[in-house]
Amino acid sequence: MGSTNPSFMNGVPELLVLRLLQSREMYGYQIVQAIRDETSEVVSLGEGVVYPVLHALESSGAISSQRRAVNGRSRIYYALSPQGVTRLTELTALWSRLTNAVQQVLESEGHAAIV
Amino acid sequence: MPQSFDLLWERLLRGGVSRRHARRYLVELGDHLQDLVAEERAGAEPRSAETRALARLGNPETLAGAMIARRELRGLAARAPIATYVIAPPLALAAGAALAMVGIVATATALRNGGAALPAWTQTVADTGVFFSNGLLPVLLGWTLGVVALRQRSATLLPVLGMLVLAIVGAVLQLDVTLPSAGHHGEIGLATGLGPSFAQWSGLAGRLTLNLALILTPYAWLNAWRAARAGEDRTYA
Repeated sequence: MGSTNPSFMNGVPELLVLRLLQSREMYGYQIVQAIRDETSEVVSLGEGVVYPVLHALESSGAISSQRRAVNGRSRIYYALSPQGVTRLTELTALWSRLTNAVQQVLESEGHAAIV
Repeated sequence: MPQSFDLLWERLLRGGVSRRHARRYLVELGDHLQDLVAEERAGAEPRSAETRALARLGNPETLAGAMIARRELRGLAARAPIATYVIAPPLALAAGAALAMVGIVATATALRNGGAALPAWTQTVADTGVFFSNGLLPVLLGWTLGVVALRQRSATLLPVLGMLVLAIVGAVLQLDVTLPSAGHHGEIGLATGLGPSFAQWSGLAGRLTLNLALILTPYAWLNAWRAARAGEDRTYA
């Protein structure tokens, strides 16, 4: 996804971050690597801009943070909160509806004939 | 920490991002950069690892823009500048004067329990309360306002307007205390200090001039100093 359409991409970084944090706590660098790996590099966030997403999610109470020393380095780990689980469910449902709708359009006969 | 982080710090504060979020953002970006440099050094061409790591992290404008676009990460002064700089300081001044009044009344009431004469030092307590409310509090609040504005890199218009309002309210509102003595009730009040006589108007003008000088001078000097330093940084960069 080289360029992003803001209206379509709205909420996607949040969705991916929440989904990844559902499985385990991570710090920013790990989150960016995980997004790249798990989407086979199709979704590649600007590495530094993941932090505003994390700060905003923390402000809304969807995730919490904790500073921890690991291998002599201080890291800020993020974890999903109960509100984050609810938010993830909502965003997942929204994304499913959106992708289903797009899929319907792509598979409809009228449009297939044009293509 | 690369020099671009200093520029990013300034850009974030000017964009209204709260200092807490800006500080943590830079710490996290610094950590992230270290990880990227280590990753790039392990790659094929270790010499330009830092340059590639910085490119992957993002340029200062992109990094700042992503943070500034999030309204929830802005500081109070950026979210509600009029409330912060113009409305809150006079309200705090009135609250401070009210507290001083309550303190003086409580002290005098406790000491005069049963109609006993007040000890001589009570006058010193009352004078200190009046000096704090009438003289010190407007200046302290003005300095606080200036520090908040400078730390958040706010444009000068609203802070200066707030300081003007504070200086005027501080000069007009005057706490007045007369302690009770044998056969006389005491009096305490918060008056405007305005009246028909020339002495009252000249007193008001004197207080206003003093407030303005004490509040605005340090802010103007520090603002000029900061602007000059920012200019030097740009020259050396």
